[in-house]
Amino acid sequence: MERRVEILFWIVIAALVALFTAQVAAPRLPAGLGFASPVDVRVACTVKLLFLLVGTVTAFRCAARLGLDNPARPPWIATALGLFSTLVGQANLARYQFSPRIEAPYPSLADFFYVTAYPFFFVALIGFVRAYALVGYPIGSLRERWRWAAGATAVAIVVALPLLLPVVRSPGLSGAKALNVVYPALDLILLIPTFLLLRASLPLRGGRVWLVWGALLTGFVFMGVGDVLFAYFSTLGIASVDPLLHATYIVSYGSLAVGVLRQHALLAS
Amino acid sequence: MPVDSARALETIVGTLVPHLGTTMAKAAVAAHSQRLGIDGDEISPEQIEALLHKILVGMSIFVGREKAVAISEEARAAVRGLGA
Repeated sequence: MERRVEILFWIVIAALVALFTAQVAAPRLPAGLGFASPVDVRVACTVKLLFLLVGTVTAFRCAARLGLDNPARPPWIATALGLFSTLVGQANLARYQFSPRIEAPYPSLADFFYVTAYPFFFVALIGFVRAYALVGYPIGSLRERWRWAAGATAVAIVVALPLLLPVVRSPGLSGAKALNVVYPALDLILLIPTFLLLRASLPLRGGRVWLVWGALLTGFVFMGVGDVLFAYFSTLGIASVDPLLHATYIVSYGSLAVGVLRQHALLAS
Repeated sequence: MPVDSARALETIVGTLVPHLGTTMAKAAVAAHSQRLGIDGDEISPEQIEALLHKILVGMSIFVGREKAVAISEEARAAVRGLGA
């Protein structure tokens, strides 16, 4: 069952990524296929809601299948709560995206839930790294992990700074501008445990467990990429790349949902 | 009855590879063995049990307790086969 759902998800992801990328690459498409048409926005929104709903429910089911004393249970609960918060944010945004007249305000209530998701994801990723260490997997000493975290922070700052400077330097002081700095900043913070978990998980390549972590970590990386691009392009007022943003979030939420489904299949098999 | 340490560890690694991949399976068994002081030419049944328990706990975070027990049973049977 989960395998069929996963295949269906990959087909949807591939089709939408191809469509949205084509819209950016060839903006002069026939009417209705042009960038960010209302239909595209609604399709993207529906797919995101579906991925987040499946991810949330399945992540809770994964947590429920792990014993109370299992160190992976709390991070799975945190993952489920992070996905749930993102789902509520997306559902709030959907109210506007499905309305023919009202344009979505920015910031809105949706942003409250998007921002609320970050602490859950942070706790989840740190919790998974801690679980690896607790049960004795060789992921390096605490000092080594701090060193890698410092390295990841430095790289993240070097990469993000050129993208964030135009946002910070843009005129005015508004909620939108503040959020355009807050989102990428939160993503940079989230990137540190993501990197630590990626480093700890890379030796799993070739095994079934890697299929779970490869998909989950892809989801977190694309979430960060999407937020940084959103902040950059919305500050500069470049709307023509909106389809690319949709594609980025669809890959993110889709990969997270696939990762969670794979984990549940591992637990249930 | 003690069995050849290298063969026993290799057998346990082989059981874990489909789940953890070759690199992590080898690294996990080596790390657990080191902690348990398994470094001689032979490995005692008690050491094997201690190692399998560590593996069970480690696998539980990825596949849950039930499946981890099944994997550790599989490894136990494979190591027993070496002594037969």
